Amino acid sequence: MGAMFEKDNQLVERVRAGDVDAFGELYQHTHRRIHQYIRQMVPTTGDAEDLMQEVYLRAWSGLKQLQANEAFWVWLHRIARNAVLDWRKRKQVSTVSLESTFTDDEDGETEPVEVADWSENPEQIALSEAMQEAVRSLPENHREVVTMYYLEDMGISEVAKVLGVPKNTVLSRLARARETLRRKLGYLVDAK
Amino acid sequence: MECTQIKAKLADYSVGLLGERENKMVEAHLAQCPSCAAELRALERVDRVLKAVEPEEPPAHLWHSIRARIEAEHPRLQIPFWQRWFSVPRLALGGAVAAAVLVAIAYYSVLRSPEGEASLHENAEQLMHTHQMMSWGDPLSDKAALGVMLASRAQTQEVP
Repeated sequence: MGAMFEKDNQLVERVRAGDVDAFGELYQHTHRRIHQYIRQMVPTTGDAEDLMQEVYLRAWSGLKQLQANEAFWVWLHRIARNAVLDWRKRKQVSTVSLESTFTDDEDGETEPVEVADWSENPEQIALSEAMQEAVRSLPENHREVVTMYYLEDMGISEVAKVLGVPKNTVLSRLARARETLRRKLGYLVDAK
Repeated sequence: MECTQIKAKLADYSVGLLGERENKMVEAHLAQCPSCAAELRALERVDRVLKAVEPEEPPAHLWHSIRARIEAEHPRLQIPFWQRWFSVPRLALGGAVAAAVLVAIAYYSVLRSPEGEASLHENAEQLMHTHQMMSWGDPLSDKAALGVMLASRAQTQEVP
C-alpha cells in the first residue's frame, strides 16, 4: 500500500496542476472499489453510474482539501459515502439509513432468502447469487462493511479509517453480518 | 458453557473479537461438540463464499463521461500537450539525456573534421539563426535545429 500511496501522491500533485490524464490514472486505480461500494448501496446500475460521475467530479473539484498524510482512495471513499447519503436525501428512499439507530448488537429475526431453482446450475453459481441477494438485504451499516471487506478487498484498519470508527466496531459489524447471512442462506451453507 | 452460549459467540470468535480466555473456552467446547463445530464451519463457509463473489465491473464508458464533464466544466484547467509530456519526470529526464547525447555527438564530429575550426563559427551562426526562427513556434525546436545542422553537415562532408 506504501508504494501505491506514493504513486497516488505524485498523481494527486499533477491533478492539482490541472492534469486530467493524471486524474484518469487515479480513476483507474480506484474505480472498481468505488463502484462496488456504490453499487451495493443503490438499487440500480443507472443510479450507480450517476453517483460514480458525481463522486469523481466532487473529487476533481475538491482535491485541494486532501491532506498530505491521507491516502487518496480513503478520502475518495468518504466522498463516495457522503454522495450516497446525499443521494438518499434527494431520493428520499425509504430504507434504513446509514446513520440509523440500528445498533451493532441488534439481533432481529430475518427472513430466509428465496433461492431460485438452481437444480440445472452449478451449485457455486447459485450460492454466489443467493449470497449477493442476501448481502443486498443486510442493514446498511453491515452491508457497507461487508462490501468494503469482501468485495473491495479492504483490510479492517482501512474500513475503520473510511468509516471513522474503531476497528472492533468494524469486526463486530462483520460478525453480525456473517450471522445474518448464515441464517438467511440456511441449508446452503450448512456444513457437509 | 452450553451450546446456545457458545453458538452466540461463534461469529465473534470467527472474526477474532474474543479475548484469550473466551477463545480457549470456545475451542475446548468445539473439540467435543459436533453441532457447534458444524455451526462454525457454516460461518466459515459464508466467509469463503463472500470472498469468491465476483465483483460487478463498472461500465467502460464511464471514464469518458467523467472526463467530458470535467473538460466542459473546467476548461481553464486544461494544460497544453507538451507541458503534460514534460510533467512526467521520466520523460523529461529521457529528453534531457537525448539532448545531451546529441550535443556530445555534434561537438565530437566538429572537432574531428579537418575543417572543424573553420566551419565551427559558420555552424554556430546557422544554429543560432535557426534556433531564433523556430523557437517562436515550438519549444523542441533546439533539438530539431541541431538535427538539421548535423544532417546538412554530414551531407557536405560525404559529397566531395
